[in-house]
Amino acid sequence: MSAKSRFEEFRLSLRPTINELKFSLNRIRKSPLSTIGVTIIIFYVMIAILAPVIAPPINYETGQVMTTWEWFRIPRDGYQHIPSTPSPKHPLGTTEGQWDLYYGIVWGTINAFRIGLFVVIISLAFGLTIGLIGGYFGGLIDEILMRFTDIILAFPGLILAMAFAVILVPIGISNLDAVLYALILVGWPGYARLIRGEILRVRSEDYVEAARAVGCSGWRIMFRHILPNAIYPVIVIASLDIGSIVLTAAALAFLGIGAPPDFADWGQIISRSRNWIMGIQGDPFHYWYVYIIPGIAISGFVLGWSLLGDAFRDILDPTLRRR
Amino acid sequence: MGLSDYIIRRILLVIPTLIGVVILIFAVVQLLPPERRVLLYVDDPRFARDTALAIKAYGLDQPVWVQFVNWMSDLLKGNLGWSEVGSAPVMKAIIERIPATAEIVLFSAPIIIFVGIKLGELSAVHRDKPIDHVTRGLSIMGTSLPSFWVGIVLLAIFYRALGWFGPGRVGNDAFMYIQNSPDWHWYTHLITIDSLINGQFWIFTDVVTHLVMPVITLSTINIATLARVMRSSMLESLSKTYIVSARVKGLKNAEVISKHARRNALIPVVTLSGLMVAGMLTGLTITETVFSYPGLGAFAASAAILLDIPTVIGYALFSGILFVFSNLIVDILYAFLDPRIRLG
Repeated sequence: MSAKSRFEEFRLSLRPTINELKFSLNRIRKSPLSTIGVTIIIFYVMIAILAPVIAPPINYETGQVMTTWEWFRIPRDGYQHIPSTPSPKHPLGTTEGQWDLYYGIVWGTINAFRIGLFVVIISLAFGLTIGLIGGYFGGLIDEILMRFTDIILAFPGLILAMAFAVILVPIGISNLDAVLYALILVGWPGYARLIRGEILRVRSEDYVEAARAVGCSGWRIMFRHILPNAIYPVIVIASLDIGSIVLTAAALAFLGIGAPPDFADWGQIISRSRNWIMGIQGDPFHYWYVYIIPGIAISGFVLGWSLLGDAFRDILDPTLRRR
Repeated sequence: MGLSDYIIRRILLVIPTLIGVVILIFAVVQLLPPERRVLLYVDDPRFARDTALAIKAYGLDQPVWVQFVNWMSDLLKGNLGWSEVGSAPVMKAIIERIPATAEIVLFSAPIIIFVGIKLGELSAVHRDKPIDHVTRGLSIMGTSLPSFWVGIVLLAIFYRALGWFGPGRVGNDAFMYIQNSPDWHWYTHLITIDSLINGQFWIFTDVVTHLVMPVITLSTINIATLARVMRSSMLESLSKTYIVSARVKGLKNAEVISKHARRNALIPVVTLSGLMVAGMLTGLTITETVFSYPGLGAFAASAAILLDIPTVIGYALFSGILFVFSNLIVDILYAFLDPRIRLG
């Protein structure tokens, strides 16, 4: 077979996938809310990628570029306690203690992605493994694993995360990491239950029975037949969760568990803006930028993910897809 | 299987979950060195001063299972250790703060339930009309806005700029009166109710103005979630054949909605109320902190900042147990409402 005809065959084999992708994109374009969601997330991704360009990590005192591991440390311009208003040097003003707000917002975007993606991916991996084991083996193993997830789900998430964080800090884990680990410890059982339920549903489908009849091995059935069909709803929920994880992490930062004061973290910046809602005599909203701007940054981020999650649900769910 | 069998089975299921909850907390605490853990046992800070002695006294050098039995028996006696932040035993500190928190819940819950259900219903009945778009937009906003930020903005507007509502639980005058006046008597520890019984209407209005902002903040997110679920449940209910038959029968639209669609749509919403309890507990932690409201949530948050482990652990246990029981109540209620559950 010539190279050309082989390519032709390859192209034909891809056609259904491409068509489905086109259809999906078309669905996103047709729904105004999904379009807004996609636009918002692309906007934040651009900010995150361009961060070193649009907010160069330069130390105000020395005028030198900061070393890589310091990039999430917001540069500080002086030690005055009162925030300063937006100016050409500080486009969005500074927070209390003269940390540049613009830098904090821009680098906070990367931090938000870091928290959201890290927590979701690790807890998803964890949850998938546990859910797979439970769903595949069933019986006693399944029972034990699911009772364990029940116990973690018996707590309100934020409060259990708070308790985990309070335990993790004294045993030598940094505040920043403690929050991430706490959120993972609280987050995986939801995914485990979800994937297990899906596996149980798919396992009884005819095509799985057919694969078994043909003589496929257990592993092959699991990974080629069951998992690909069971994983979609879990991915949808996970994508929705990126926003809410960032929200929970910010809430923990607001409660004082999380990033140190110079760290580019939206929750931390909002938390310390609370002292400035009083404004000045005759101008109650004098320090508006300290609390309004980071609030908009985080709300937009979460909003983008929830709109995107809704879009994913409509697109990936075959029962809703072609309505 | 009858209803009583179902209820008994469901109540028995609570026991393993509760044991699991306790074991999980115990296991997590085991990560800490004994010097840190000892505060979870002492009910008087004087005992904790000599750490080595206290470790010996409470058996923290014993095998794990002995420690678990010790801790468990302490727990059953209501001893959760010493709260640094509350300067009192954890249990006492928690109980003292329940009324303040209950007061917020008492006012928020009816608002959340009524507004959430009504909005969801309106949205479903007028599907794809402007009111549906507005409600859906609002509920997406409601779940996206960080509640602590909403609180800060509310404070800036209504406290600083307009001076209508203040933070805290009561104003200074009311506080002094409650503290010092011999005429003040506690009945329920809910100041709104006690002030009415005492005949002090000015204290009542004072407390209510302090409750407005926390109640709004706590309600927004929960209303958003509830409206979303109610909408989809109502949509499903409206598409059922019994709705068509009710219409064919010639019933008025309002009657079809209130008697046939809404009642059936509410059943799945009841299951959500268990999750609402968790949402409330989480929301209260944040809301109370923003508004410096002296309740349970703010107490736990201030303990978390200072790494006051016994308090945070006590609070986690308290909310875990509360959540388990509220789920139990929801399941029983669900069985009452939906015969398919209890008979199935």
